[in-house]
Amino acid sequence: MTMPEHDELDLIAAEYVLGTLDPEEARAFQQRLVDDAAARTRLAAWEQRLARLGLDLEPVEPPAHVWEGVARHTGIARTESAVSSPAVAPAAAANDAPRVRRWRRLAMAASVAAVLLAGLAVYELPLWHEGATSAPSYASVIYDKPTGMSWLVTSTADGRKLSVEAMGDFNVPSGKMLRMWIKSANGKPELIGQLPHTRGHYTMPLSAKLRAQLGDHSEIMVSMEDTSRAGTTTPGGKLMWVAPVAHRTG
Amino acid sequence: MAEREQLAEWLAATARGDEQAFKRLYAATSPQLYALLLRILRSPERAQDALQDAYVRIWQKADTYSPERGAPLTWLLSIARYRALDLLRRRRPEVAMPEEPDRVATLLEDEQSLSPAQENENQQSLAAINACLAQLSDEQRESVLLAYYEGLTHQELAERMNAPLGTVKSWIRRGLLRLRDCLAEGSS
Repeated sequence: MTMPEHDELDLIAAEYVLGTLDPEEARAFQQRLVDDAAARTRLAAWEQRLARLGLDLEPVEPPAHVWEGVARHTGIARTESAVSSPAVAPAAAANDAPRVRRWRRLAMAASVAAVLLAGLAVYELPLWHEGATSAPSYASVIYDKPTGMSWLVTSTADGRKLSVEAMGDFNVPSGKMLRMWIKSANGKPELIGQLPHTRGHYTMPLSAKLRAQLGDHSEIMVSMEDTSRAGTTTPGGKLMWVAPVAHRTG
Repeated sequence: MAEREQLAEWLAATARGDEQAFKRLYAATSPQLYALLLRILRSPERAQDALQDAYVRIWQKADTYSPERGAPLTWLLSIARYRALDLLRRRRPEVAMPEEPDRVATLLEDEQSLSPAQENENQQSLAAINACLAQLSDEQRESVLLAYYEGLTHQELAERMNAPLGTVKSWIRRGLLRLRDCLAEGSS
C-alpha cells in the first residue's frame, strides 16, 4: 500500500528530527527545507513533539567554563563569567509516571550510566577543540541570512592555523565551489582556500603571507566560483559574503 | 510573566543583540540542554562542547525563532540535539557501558529550583507524551526512545534490538505516526 504524500513528508520530517534518516536522505530533506514551506512546517511540528522528551530529564548545571566559551565564540562581553543558577530553571519531570520512567531506564540505561564513567572513557575530541587551549586571536562570522547558514572562522593565538566551523550545510551547485579570501584594509584579496560547505570543523594552515593580511581592519570574503577555476589565485566568481575580522582578547 | 513568554522575550532580545538577555536565557535553559546532551553524548566533555556550540548557534540564529515554531525551550532543545547528533555521526565512541541506572538517580538528584508556572506547563507536555508513549507497542516505544536519547541510526537500532533492519524501520515509522495522532487527539 502506498502511503499518502503528506504522510510520507511528515515521516521524513519526523525521522529527520529523530535523527534516523541516512545521511543522503537527511541532506535531501535539508535541501527541500530551503524552498518548501510545508516541509518546514512539518519539521517545526516534529521538533515540538519530540523535544518534549528532552524535558523528561533532571536539569544538570553545566560548568562555568562553558559559558566562558560561549562568550568567547560569540564575542560578547564576559562581565559575568559564571552565570548563576537560574531562578527559572526548566522543569524536571518530577511527577513522571513511574512506569514511563522504567521504559526510559530500559531504553537509556547504557547511555545514562556512561555519564558516570565518562571520566574513564577516552574519546577523541572534535578536531576543532584542539585549539581551545590557545585562544583565537582573530575571529569572523560569515552568515547567510536567507538560509541561516553560518561559519565561524577563527585563527589560533599563534596565527599559524585557521579554523572553520561550518554550522550547517550550504547548498553549492554542482561544478561550483566556495572560495575564501582575506583582504587587509588596503590590500587585495588573497586566497585562503575553499570554504567547506558541509557541517563540521575544519582547520588549515595559514601562510606567513596570509597572516600578514590578518588584522583589525581586514575582511573575509567568500566567492562562488566554477570548480574549473581551482588553481587560480584571483577572485573570479560571484561575491557571496564579506565579513569583518575582529581581534579577540580572550 | 509566564516562563514561556519570558523565554520568548529573552530570545527576541537576543536576536537584537542584547547580551544580558542572552545571559539570562543561557542561565535559565542551559541545565536542561546540558542534561539532554549528557544523555546523548555519554561524556561530560563532549556534552560541554556541544552545549557551547549550541548556544553559539542560538546567539546567531535567535532571529529565526518565532512563536509559530513552538515553545522556546523545545526549540532550544532541538538545536542542542541536532548538534549532539552531528557529533555522534562524526565519531561514535565504542566503549562498553554497564547498566547502573540506580546510581544515576543518586548522581542527578540535585534538583534545580523550579518556578510553578514552568513546572506546570512542562509537566502537562510530559503527561501528554507519556500517555501517548503508553499507546505504542513495546518495540515501537523502545526504538523511538533509543533513537531520541542515544541518537541511534536505523542500522544501530537493528543491531541493538536484534531485529531486521526493515522491521526496525517499520517500528519507528509506525511509532512516530501513532505518537503524532495521539498527541493531536490530546490537544484537540
